[in-house]
Amino acid sequence: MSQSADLLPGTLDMLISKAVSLKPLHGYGVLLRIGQISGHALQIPQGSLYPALYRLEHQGLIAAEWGESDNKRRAKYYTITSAGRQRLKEETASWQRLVTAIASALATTPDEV
Amino acid sequence: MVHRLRSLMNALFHRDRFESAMSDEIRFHIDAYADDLVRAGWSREEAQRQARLEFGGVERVKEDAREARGVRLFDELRADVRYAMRQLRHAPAFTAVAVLSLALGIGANTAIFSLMQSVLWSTLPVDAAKRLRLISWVSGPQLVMDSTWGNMNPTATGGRTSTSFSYPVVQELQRRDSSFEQLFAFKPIGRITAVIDGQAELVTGQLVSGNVYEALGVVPIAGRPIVPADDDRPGSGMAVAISDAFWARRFGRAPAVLGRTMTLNQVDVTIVGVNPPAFTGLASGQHPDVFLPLSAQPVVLPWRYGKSPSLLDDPEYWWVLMMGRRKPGVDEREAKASLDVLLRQAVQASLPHKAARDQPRIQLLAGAQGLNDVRRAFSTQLFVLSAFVALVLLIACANLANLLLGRAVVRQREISLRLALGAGRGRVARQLLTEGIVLALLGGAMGIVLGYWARDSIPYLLSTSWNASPLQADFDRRVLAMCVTVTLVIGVLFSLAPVCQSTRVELTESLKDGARTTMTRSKRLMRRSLIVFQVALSVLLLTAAGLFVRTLWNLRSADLGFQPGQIVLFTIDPPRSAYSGEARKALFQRLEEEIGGLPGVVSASLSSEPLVANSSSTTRVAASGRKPSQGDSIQVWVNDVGERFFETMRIPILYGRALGPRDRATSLPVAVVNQQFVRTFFPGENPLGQTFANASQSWHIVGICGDARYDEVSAPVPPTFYQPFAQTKDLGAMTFEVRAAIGEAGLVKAVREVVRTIDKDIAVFDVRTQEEQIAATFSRERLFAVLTSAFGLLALVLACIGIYGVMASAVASRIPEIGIRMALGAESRRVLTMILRESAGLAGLGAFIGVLGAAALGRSIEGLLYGIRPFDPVTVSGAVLLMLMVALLAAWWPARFAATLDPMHALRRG
Repeated sequence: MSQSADLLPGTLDMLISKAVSLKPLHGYGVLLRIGQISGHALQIPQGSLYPALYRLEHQGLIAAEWGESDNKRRAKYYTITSAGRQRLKEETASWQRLVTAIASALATTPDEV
Repeated sequence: MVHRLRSLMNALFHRDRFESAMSDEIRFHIDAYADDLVRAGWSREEAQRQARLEFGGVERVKEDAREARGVRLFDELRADVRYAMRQLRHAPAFTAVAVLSLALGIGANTAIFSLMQSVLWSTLPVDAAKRLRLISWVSGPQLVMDSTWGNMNPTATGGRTSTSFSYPVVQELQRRDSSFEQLFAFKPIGRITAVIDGQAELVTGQLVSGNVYEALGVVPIAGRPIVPADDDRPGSGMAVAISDAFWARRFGRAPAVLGRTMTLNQVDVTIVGVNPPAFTGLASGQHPDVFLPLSAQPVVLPWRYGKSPSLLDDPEYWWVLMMGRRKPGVDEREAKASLDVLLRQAVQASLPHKAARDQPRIQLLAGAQGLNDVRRAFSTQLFVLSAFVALVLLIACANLANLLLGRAVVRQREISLRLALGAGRGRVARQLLTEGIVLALLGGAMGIVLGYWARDSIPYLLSTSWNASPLQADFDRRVLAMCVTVTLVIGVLFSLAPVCQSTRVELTESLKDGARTTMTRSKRLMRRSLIVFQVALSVLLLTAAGLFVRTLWNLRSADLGFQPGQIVLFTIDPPRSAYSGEARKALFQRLEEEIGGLPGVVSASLSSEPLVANSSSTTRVAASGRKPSQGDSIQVWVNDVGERFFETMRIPILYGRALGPRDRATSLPVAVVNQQFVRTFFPGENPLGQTFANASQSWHIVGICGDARYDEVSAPVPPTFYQPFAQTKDLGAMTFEVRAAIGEAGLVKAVREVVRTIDKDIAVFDVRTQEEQIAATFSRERLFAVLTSAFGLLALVLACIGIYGVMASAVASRIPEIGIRMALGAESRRVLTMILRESAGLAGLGAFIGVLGAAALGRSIEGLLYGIRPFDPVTVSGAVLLMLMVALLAAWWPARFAATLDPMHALRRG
């Protein structure tokens, strides 16, 4: 496993939204998908996954439905709602701004001051 | 937001489904991970173990998920409530006292509030009631009309105001007005004789214009409403509507009632509709049985004094009430102005010769309640009563606060322990708050049930055997909402004080082994102030109650000038179509004679006005046969009486003679006058043989009788003369007075028999004893005396409980001190007096404040008192004495306990 990074506070919801926005997923699937799309760099603490899923569902950002998994078991699948998609877009944009700002701040050399 | 609420509701109401889904989901997660591990080469068993391990505490995850869904708050709340209930169950005495205090306080408020709701705030059950206006007029003292029927009140500037209009004016306004949706008219007509299936009975009637139902949007529950066409077709066979109550009472809700005929005052009418239950006419406090078109007046209530029996075309006679719903686009001032113009034109057109008089001007009154006379009669009383019950509730709340403070002391250690074990202060505060609210809700629920049960008992105090109560209690959503709000506010407010105290506890201090549960100084001061506050309010309420009781007592023991014992009254109003003029007098004479001859009857008579019944006839007369001009005539009271009136009522004849058989219609008109009459007209003269006259006739004085009360007890005896009914021009209903040695029931049966043999269509009604009649005129005062005494006693009991509670806990916390005192040789009697003195001191201070309050507030109830000043030293000292005695009594048990302590035992407990 490659080097893994700690999750920044507040980013878990964003990652979950992103994961289920690609394709409906069950809880375990969300875990695997985040691992996959982050190149296994991000470790989601399993204990905080479900509270986060329930919170997002409660806020109406994702929706849940019971379905059948690949190995024919009953599983709860989460999909993103239009409100969730909107929120994801906003959060992505503000994240980009943050990253750009911090990157430019950190890249500053003494001559530039 | 909606989404969150729905998701929370789903989780709460389908709790099982929510929980099992959550378990399923987590199990699936662990299994799926384990499957992946197996695929990666792990053994099944190892894989399961690893998956579980990495997932972490399942319960912890579930709990966090529940919180995310908002469910956790509710779980905790439920636990809090359960814990609170357990706490309350463990302290049954505390719970019972607190709940009962609150229940009584809130119950009293519920009962009074439901009365106020119905009298002051309830509206007609129609659409847009807020836009309804009752049309009235104001005028200077020189009125345009000759006669009015209905209420007429003086204005501040010496003019008059009334809601009565002549029918020609009403019709003109109806025709020309455009600022109201529709103007409609009505008139309560009191009781009329109905004959249904050959049986005569009295029903209450209301005349309504043909457009009332349409204008208000009242839809009958059966049949059809009265329509404008009915109003155009007066006379036999006309359409009437009946009330739901009358339908139930008289016809057992039989559908066949539609199309039935009955007679009203000898006129055949047809029932065409039944009103919805909520619609009880347009005058509050009255519940008419029958609704007739206005045009029925000439036949059903023929006017006996005018040229024609009809009032409908008489511009001089103002009697019809008018209402309308203002059009939504028209503002109040415009509506008033346009109606004012129309009224002026209508008055000028119908009374052209009265242009020099003061012209009436329109005034729009709120019409949402219809015509509301009850409101005027009772609003002061209701406001005083509501202040009373609010104070009682305050006393109850003081008890609650006191009890909660006391408990906070007892539970100090428990709370410290919980804080020490890591419970958040917020969590502990929430627990205490929950306890307070649970307590308040228990008390409130009981109080509301109590108030609901008691809601009819207050109006009942005002009803008599012959008249329904003018008051009614409405227990509706508004009342319920008010009670629940008050309860919750009390719960929150009064649990907050101990919350602040308890969570500020010094942990180490109170957890120390052997640390005594003592009160801080501020807490003790607070509890004592509460006692002083309770005593002050109780003294205030007791004083007021005392004043009202003495008012009632003064009314009851006032000298009447006649002897009311053993007299039975009843009223007879023979249909005018069959009995008028001389035939009517002959009938009354025959009845007087036959009833007087019944076995057991001492003497019988009759009069046009029963005594002390709040009704009177007056006229203006001048002495010595001169025709009175406006200046020198004086208003006097007159009664048309039978031959044996003075003998029956036992009003002494002081000089001259009583009225007798020789005073016939054809002989010289005579009168017996009372002493006040003599004092007014013939001071220092011999009035016998003198004459006096009003505008239309003169009387010859043949006798002088003692002063007797006429219409009411609380007013001085007015100058009064009595004339033989045989000599009066026309008679209405007559009330018979029968002094009998036999019981009321047997007498009434015999009387009914006599009346029936003469004419079966004549109803005998309003049967009551003279004493009941007198008592009925101060039913309001009685209601007041009863209620205020009850609330005063309630206050006393609540204060007593408060004092007991404080003194008991004061003694409990001072046990070691008392033990030392006794060990050092204090006698038990001294300990007893020490405790009692403390209680008496608090009560004395409270009583002093209460007396100051009574002195300050006495003015506001002056108008409700009779024969007593608002600050009466005897009443005040009585209240104070009673309060002090109760305070000593309440402190007696704790004091007794302290005095009989075994010093050794007491010291060891310390």
